[in-house]
Amino acid sequence: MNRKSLRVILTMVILSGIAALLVWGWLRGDKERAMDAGGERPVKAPSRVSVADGEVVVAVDETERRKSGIAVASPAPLSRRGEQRATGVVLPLQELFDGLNAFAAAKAQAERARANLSASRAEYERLKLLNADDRNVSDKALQAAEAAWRGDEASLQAASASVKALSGSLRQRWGGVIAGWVREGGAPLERLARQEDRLLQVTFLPDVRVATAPRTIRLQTAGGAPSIAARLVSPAPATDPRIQGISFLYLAPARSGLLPGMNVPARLPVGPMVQGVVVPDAAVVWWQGKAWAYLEKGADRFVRREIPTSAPVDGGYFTAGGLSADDRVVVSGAQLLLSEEFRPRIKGGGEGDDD
Amino acid sequence: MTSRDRGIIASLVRFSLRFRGVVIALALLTAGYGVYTLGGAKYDVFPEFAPPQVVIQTEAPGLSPEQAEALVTRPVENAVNGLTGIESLRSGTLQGLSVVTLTFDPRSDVYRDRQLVAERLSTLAGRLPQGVQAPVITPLTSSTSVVLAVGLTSATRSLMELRTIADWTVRPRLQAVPGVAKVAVFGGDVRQLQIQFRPDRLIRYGLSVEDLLAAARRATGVRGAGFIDSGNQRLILRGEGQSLTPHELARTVIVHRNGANVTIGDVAQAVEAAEPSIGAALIMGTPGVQLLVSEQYGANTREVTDAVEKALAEVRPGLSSQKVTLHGDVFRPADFIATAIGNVESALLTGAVLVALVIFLFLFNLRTAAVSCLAIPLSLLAGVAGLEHLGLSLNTMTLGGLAIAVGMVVDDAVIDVENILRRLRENRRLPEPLPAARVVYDASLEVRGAVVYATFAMALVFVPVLTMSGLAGRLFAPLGIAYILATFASLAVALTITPALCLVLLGGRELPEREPPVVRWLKKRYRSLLATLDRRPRAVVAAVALFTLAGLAPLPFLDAAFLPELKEGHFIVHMTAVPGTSLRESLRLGREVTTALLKLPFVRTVAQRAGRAEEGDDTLGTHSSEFDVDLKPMKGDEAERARGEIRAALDGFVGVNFSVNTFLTERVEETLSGFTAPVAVNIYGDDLNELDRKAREVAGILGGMPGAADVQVQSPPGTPQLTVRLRDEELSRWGFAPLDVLDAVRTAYQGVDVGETYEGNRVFDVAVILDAQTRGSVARVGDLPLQNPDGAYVRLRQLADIYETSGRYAVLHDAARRVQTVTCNVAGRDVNTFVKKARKRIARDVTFPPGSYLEFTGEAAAQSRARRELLVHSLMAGVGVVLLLSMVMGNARNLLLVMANLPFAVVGGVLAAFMTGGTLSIGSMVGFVTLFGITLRNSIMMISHYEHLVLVEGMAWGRNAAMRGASERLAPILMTALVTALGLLPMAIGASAPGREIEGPMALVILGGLVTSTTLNLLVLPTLALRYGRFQGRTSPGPQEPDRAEY
Repeated sequence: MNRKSLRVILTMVILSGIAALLVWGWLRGDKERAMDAGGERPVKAPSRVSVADGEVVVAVDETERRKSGIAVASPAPLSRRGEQRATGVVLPLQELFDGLNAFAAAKAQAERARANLSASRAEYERLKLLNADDRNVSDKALQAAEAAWRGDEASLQAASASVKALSGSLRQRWGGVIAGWVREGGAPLERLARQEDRLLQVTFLPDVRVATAPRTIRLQTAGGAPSIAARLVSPAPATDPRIQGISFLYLAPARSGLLPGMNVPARLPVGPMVQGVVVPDAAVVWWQGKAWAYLEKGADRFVRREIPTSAPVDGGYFTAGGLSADDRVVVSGAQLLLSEEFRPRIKGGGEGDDD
Repeated sequence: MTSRDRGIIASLVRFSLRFRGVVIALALLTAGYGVYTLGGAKYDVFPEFAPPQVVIQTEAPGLSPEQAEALVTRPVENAVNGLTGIESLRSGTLQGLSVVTLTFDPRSDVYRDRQLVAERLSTLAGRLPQGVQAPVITPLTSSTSVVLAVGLTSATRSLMELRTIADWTVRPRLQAVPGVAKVAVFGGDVRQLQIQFRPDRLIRYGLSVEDLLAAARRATGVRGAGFIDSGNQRLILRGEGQSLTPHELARTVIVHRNGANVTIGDVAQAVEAAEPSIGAALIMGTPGVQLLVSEQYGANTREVTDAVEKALAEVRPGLSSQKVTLHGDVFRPADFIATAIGNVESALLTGAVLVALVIFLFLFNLRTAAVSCLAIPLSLLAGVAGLEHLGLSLNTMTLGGLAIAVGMVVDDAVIDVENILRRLRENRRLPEPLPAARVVYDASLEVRGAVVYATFAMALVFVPVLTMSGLAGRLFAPLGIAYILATFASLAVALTITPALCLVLLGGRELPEREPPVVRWLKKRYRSLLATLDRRPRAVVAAVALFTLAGLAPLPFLDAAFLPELKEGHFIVHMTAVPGTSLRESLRLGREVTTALLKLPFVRTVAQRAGRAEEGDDTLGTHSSEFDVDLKPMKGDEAERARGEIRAALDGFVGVNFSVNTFLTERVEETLSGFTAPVAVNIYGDDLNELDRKAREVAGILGGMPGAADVQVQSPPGTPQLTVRLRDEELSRWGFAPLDVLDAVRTAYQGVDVGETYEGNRVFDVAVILDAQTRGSVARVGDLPLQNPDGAYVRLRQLADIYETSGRYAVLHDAARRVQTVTCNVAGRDVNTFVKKARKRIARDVTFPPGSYLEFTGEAAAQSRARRELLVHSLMAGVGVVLLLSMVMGNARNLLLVMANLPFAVVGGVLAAFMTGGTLSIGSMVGFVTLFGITLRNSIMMISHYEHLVLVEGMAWGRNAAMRGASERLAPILMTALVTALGLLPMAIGASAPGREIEGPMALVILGGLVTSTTLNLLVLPTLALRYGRFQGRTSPGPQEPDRAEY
């Protein structure tokens, strides 16, 4: 082998060495780039949302659920009627009893007039017979008796009118039932008089429509004491001018500490008794103007259900139908599921038809 | 005296030789001053890269984004719009907050800009709606802003107590630290004395909310009472007794009726409770308070960090006695500064040592090596003093500039020393040796032309870097300045101290007769190699051309990137859910995320900030969180993997988007477009709904493109909203004015501040608000009772339609126009190509209604602008360099010879970039610029030496002259190349170490280019010069065929 060919071989070796180095460098760079790209790629966000039977389903497996702290629970069953809040005021009864007295006086007056009338009428009848029988009594005496009779008759009419007027005024002020008690007399009035019961005027806020007043309501007394029941007396003949809503009168036992002049919040059941469940506040998410809760449907699948919010109860919303106590509602992480469902909105994708 | 002896430089050298003692003393003085400035220098990671910016924040409690946009943002924008020097005017309006950001011309003075804005803002007084606070210009902070994030947690103290401690103990102490601009407090419960009224009780007592407000105001107001002047004294009158405690407040009388009092306590609960919160924080998964300390503009990060930590050390004992744990290291950017600067410094030092070794090896003489090496500290220290004088901090950029210059600064001295040594040696051999001073003088002047012109050419080459606009310019110009300062300093050293020292140290001494062994060995081989190549000029030229073409081929395959990934040892993880997600839910998930992250072995601390803080830098909604993930110190490889592993740990969280970034990268990207993403598409228009629709279409297109990642519509609609729409006829029926109703709603749900109470020097607001239970229920909003002038109660539901809708989370403006922005990351693909394709597809698929249009911004736009500018300025600088060289070279052929080296240098740079990742960052571009400078200089050296041989020594231009010149230049050129290469080697090898991310690729490019350009310079240039060069007296110009007979 001459020097020339040796040199050629050497050059070839050097060149191939350089080429190999370049290729190695490129491959290494490629690996680095791949690693970089791995570092730069977005945190994996698999599509967890699908549509099945017209419902949007969010699929979250057990690991992800645990990781994101998504918890489910059954909603508490509850049977309840509709409830309205109202404001009651314990009425002072002086006026009622004044009215009662006046009525009693008027009634006595009328009785008296009636007695007088029957006496004077009898007197007149007798004198009339005697006068007719050969004028055993003078015409004058008969005329006097007639005047007394007619006078008593007028007195009775006046007294009766007075009773009627008083009764009407009582009805106007206290309603027919209480006016009836006054007219007839009775135990309720006596209990009121003995301050064993209190009379309350309970007024709904003006936008509440109540067809028939509930027979009993619950009154919330101060300081978290247990609520007390009050029985319906009658519709109130006038509303509370401060509140301007439909108003009713109720009786409540006085031993609960109610005193005339007190304002007491009241809750009135309205409508029929309904069986349902309470969806806890923690399960409710608001979206597109509606309230929703996520239901577990089978393993690792969640669907969104609208929750009616017309019946808020303490700690949640009462819902009858749609959900049952056997359903499993997401009570922790509902917002995450909502967020997952609408991730395209913050993450491109252009799925704008979700509402 | 010849003409050569008359220039300024000649006088300078003469002066230095004559007054060598003075010169040496001056040098020592300069070095001393350099060391002194080094001690007091400012250290930072980056130069101030943000343009002058003024941020106006206006808190508009309770206003929805659309309301705040119309009532607050618009007036503020109108007030400040049209100020001189405004470059951009952006705004974002969120629920309860308007943020207007003005960016000014980078050349303007930020303090003047702030003054102008403040003057305009003062005209707004009284024009903003009631309840809206006065617009505030946020404190001026440095570009990176945060110097320390601190956390407070406690096992025994409530969140309210923690927040009170943070607000009233820690924050004032930290704000008093010099250099601290502001301290934003996240999380905890802001203590407030709340009068939480119960609507049913108000009805029961026949009172209205206004009655309650008036009573509360009367109870808590503070009034001064004046003073009494008696004959001798002045007595200050002081009124006390207003309600300070919840108990006292509860006893305040609202009305007195029939001899009985109705007090606040009868209708409301007076309690200490939390203000409605806008942010929350977790530290290691525990709810707590976070303080984000921002530094002032131009402050020294390291100093401020130290001072803040000292202040923390002062309050720490007090905190521990209250059983509060202080987490002082949630995030500490100074750590990275220390590491980064340390790494660059070590690269600089290692480089310097290597350089010294090479010099010794080549000169083989301690004295000459010492003289040469002395140029390094002298030039660098002079450079540091110059930087300090220009107000630039010592950061990875300026230090990087110095590190690149290490090889160069020694060059001038080496060339000088080498020549002096050679001439002295030759002088000794003369029968009548000239005086040493004369020889040194002549030898210095002999190379001065090349040295001076090469340095100026180099400075010219750097002009494009210095004139780059925008962020790239602000980041890289300091590097250029540092480099140029150092090289000019080295030129000064070479012209003054080097000759002086040479005369002192070498003048009268014994000199080694023979050349150093290394040089001898090299020269021998070099000559034979050169001779071999010389025989086949065509083959050589063809091979060079081929190699150049082949080397340039990968150029189109290189990816472009603005900034490389910085290894800060810290990550910011962003977590975003759909707008409307509550703080509580963000924190709940945050705890799970914290647990997942802490399972990673390399994670040291995790802290979450959800929502925003008053005066905070970021204005995020409650659905957004930032996690500070601080890592344990790690090796390079682990650090590279860390980000991937963090991402893996974040897989599987439902309903949220995560993005992982480093702090500085994020800050830099925020500065570019206001958004933290490489690509931002702005869509302008008037109709918000239309903008949303178009944004979604654009997002859809971007999302469908390969490489797209984290596509986000910046302010998506869909924030759940409850609208209270008043009904006119109902209002008039009941006798309400609209504002009465809206005020009552605001009082109930946002709360109204009615006064203040104080406890020692702590002041707390007193607010009237609805009781917590009622406030928390969506269903009960309509139940809010309102009292009309007749005293009748009406529920809100009767006066207004109340319905849930979905609204906007934020309304964005750019230049006072409504804008919707889609941001996007690009992974595994070149950003520019991506943007180009995206542009085309959007133009094809999306139609914009009249008045709407779209614009691309973000990192990609900045990058292409930077490149365009770099190109234009490079061309201009190129012309300048050519003109300069034409002055040195005298004829066009030699000029072309010098320039021939450039493509070859590029080839090496491209190959180096290709081999090490295939990414071309702005750093690598700057590397090319530097490379051009070095290459030019080496070829100038060679060609000018040929001129010297022909013109001064009178050799005939031919093969012999070419061979002699080349072999005489071998040592200096090889030395220059080697010292530059070795100076950069540590930087290039540790390219992945923190702090070297930017200069690493730059160094690699320079290294690669040096290899090829030196090869060409040494092996091919003599052949080319022999064939095409023209060396003759300038007085006798004229075409002359190269001496073909030589071949």
